[in-house]
Amino acid sequence: MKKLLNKSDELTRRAFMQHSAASLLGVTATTNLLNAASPASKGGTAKSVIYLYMSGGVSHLDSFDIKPENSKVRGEASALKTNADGVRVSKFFPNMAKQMNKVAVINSMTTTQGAHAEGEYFMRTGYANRGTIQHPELGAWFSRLLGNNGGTLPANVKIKSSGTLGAGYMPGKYGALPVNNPKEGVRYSARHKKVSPDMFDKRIDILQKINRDFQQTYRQKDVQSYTDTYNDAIKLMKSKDLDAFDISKEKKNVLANYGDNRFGQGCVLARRLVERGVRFVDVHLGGWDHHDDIYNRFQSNAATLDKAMAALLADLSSRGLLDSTLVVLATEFGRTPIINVNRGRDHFPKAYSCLLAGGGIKGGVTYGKTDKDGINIIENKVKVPDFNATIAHAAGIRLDQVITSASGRPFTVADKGKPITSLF
Amino acid sequence: MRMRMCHVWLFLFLGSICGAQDKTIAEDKAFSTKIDKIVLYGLKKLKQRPTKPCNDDVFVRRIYLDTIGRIPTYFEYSKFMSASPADRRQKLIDELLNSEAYVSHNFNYWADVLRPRRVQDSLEPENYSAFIKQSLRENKTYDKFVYEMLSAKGEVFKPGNGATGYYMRDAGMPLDNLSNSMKIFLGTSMECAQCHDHPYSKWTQLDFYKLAAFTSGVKMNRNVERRSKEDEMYKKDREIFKPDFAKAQVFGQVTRIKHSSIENTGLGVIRLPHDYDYDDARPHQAIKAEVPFGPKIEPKFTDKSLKELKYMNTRISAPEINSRKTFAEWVTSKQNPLFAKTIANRMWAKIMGAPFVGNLTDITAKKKGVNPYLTKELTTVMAAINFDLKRFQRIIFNSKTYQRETARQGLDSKTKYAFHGPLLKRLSAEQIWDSILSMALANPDASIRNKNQYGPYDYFFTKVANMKASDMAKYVKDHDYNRGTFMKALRKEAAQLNDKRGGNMKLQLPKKSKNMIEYEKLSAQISKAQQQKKYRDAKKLESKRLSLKRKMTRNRENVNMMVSMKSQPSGPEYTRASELSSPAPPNHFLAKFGQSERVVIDGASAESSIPQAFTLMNGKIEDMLILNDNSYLMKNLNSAQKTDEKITIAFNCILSRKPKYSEMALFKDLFSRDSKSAERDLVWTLLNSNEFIFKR
Repeated sequence: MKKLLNKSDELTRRAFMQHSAASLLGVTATTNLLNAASPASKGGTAKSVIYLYMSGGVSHLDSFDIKPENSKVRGEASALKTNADGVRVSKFFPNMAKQMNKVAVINSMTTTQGAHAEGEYFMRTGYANRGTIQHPELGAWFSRLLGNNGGTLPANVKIKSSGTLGAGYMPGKYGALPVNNPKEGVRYSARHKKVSPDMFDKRIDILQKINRDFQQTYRQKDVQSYTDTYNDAIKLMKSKDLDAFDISKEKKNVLANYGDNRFGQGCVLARRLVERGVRFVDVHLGGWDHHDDIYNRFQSNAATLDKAMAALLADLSSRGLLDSTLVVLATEFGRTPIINVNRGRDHFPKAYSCLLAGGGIKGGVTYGKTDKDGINIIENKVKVPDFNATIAHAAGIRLDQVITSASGRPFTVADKGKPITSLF
Repeated sequence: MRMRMCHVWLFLFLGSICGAQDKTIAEDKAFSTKIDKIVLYGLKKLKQRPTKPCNDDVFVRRIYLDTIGRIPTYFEYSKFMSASPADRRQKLIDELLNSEAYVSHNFNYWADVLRPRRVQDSLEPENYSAFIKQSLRENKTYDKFVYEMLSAKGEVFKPGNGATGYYMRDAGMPLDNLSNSMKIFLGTSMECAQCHDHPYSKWTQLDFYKLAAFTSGVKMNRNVERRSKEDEMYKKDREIFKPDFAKAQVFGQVTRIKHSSIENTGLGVIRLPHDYDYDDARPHQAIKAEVPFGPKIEPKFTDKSLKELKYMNTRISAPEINSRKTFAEWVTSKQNPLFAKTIANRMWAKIMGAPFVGNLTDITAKKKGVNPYLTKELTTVMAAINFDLKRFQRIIFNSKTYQRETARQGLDSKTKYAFHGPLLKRLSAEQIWDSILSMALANPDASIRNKNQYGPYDYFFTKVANMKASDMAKYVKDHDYNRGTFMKALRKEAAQLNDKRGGNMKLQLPKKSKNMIEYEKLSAQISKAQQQKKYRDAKKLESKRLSLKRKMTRNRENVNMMVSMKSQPSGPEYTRASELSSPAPPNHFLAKFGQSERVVIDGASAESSIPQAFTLMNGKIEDMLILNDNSYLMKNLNSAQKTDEKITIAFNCILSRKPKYSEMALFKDLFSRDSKSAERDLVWTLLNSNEFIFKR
């Protein structure tokens, strides 16, 4: 295996160079020649992914891997029946209970990382954090391997106010376009309020004249790229596509259904974006690190998630977008089954739960099992790279396609992960 | 060879008649001249020609950006232009290299290489950053700087012990840390060999592990339990706090600040990994430290460490033998063929735009680069001046090679680049940010602190250094903190202490000279007389003004319009990038323009992106610079009466040059239509121009 690794596929590398030369500039991506209708992958039907990331580590025992019969570990998580036979959720997820027929619950997730930053890094990239390289996140892989669906919108958007844009060793353009506040949309994408449309156009006109000399003197890639980026930015400012970022265009009751908070509104924005063909939208909800007093703090976070995710699934389904959109619920690890002296639960990387819905994933099923204490996985262990392979597979991405970092190291989208094909 | 003989004679001659400082100047001049000759020779062989010498406009902008990381202010630009042409370039180079802003810019540069950032949840990097800044401030020789990091040990938050940040940065990843050391300090890329024989170069996994044996054992230790043997109180107090989660957490942080340290001086032996897959050794076999090239040195093995080699085990139990020091000596040795070469290459690339050999983190001793003589000379110079980086930069800045027009073509061109002129470069994120300050403020350096600043942890370290566990427990009991409020309190207290200690640069603001005030008074009187049609008076005054102007020109006083500034705003948006907490969050201006996330070596990016264009076109600059009559730029612009003066000032302020004829005509036309909005449009277009964001 090791010796195989040493020889990266020369043909693939050359093809990749050509591809990157063709799509050097801006976010206006080109269609991908390598992945289009690749016979090797059948995969799911997803064209886009909405990736809901719960940072802090969601307690599996209080959400989707409840043990109501076991007083030792169940805490306050009593069971709710759902609209899917044999699938139960905790009482904290009443809205999701009505959507579980669309969802596949994976109760056998396991990770090697027990600290937040490293755990999140592993989930988002499929690789363990190393000091010598920065791996790209799933969003960047999607952006790179699938491009956008045409139009002026970027392929990869992240609705979060911290962390990285996830390009890793890939060129920066594959990283996410950041949205800090979903109500604000893309920062500075509108004219300054003291600049009239005429004034703006006049400025652009002079700018082009001023730039001409410089561009003719320095006929270089970097200079050209700035000119092109400005042109793209101006095009985007004036295009109708930018509307996609404006959630005030939604009806009031829609906004209310998702919940009037950053995460809920982020999910609305995510839906608007995938509707317009954005490939990967990452929405973030933090605050799950319940080391103490879990039952005073878990409820409110769970309610936010429950309301938004249920509304999202219902909305996607009624708009006929669920087949083409994979919704992922991910977190870095679970929490200890035994409640600690501070009435909280600590980090538990050994077993936890994640959800998948849409994009050709079977709904109303559970996959994998933990024992009666929620400690050991007794059926169908799913490692982090397997989970990411399943996400990539849902979008028909070839898992064996090699991308080489600038330092010459070969990588694939989900490392050596294997997709859970039985979920499709 | 003959050239070197010349050198020797020249030094002997000069040495006998000049003082030490003059001798250095003469030596440096000889170095610059020789480098110039070698570059020209290399170009000739490739049948290429050098570009023309660059004009003062190009020079002044370039040297400000390369030394202190920002464009010159209008005042600085005008001052340079009116200085004596004979030696003003050389004088400016010295002045800038010796300024505190040099530390600011070079910190940004080195932070991208050495990656200070918060690690493991909450280990704050300020002490490490302070070490980097202090080393730059002292102009510590580079070999010493590196030696201190590689041999660092002890408490990581102890003020003055920030060199430990180098290991803390990669805590828990000692092998990755070694790969990083080899890349940064010796330009040797071995990270593939960490897990398997290197696919493209000669390094084997065994080579890598032999090296790793030098640093084997190094770790970040904050194990309080172990220390509880020394101080029984720890255990008890932890028990006391256990039910109170918030206090227990704060206590955890307190002990962590006190005890986090880099331990183990190096074992000199290491065990191969469980999946070692080659025939030359077995998994788990213990091996000895051995260097793959350069001077053969080895640590002083003890009998016990050698005994370790005989047993198979999964763990290592050899004694500490100071092998990290041996490693540090080997890396920084003048006999190491790659140490001088790597840092010379890096400094040269920083200045000229491209390395003279290979890429910064991947060269070999044998690789000669596009001009082998140049490679040899620059490496020799670096060692000859004992790794004095400031001096090395001074030599290059004073060379003709540096003071040439920018190469028209980039590295994407088909012709070989052999330094016929410096490369065009996009400004770094920090350079763009700091250059905007050069327009907003009369003194953009005022926010730079020229004394070491305490971060929250190193500040708190000074408080707990002499506390026993019981005192620490009392502290926690007496304060009603949770982890978040504790951290906030430390930040606040550290900031207060920093303010009290001072260390801000003196706020020097441009002032008009007496002659200038007189000059302006005369100008006002002249226009008044003209209005009142007292032409004879006006003529008298004009001749008076003319003689004053002659006098000022003789004295090299600036006769440009110049405004006095009495105060200037402060706050985060007016603070130099080096003084902000870094890396910046992802929505910050700096992050958008590609500031390094401090994750991988040389991680900063100069790629274009749509958010960048949005930010420059529609962002805060409009409010901060254009609509703000108190910005230094607008003050200067508004002080001018005539349109062409305004246009010239805008070009001076933003692009550090005079407008071309065609540009003057274009903007004059704009002003003739609507002068109020034309002023805004003028500034906006120059700020958004390609030229602004690139360094020529």
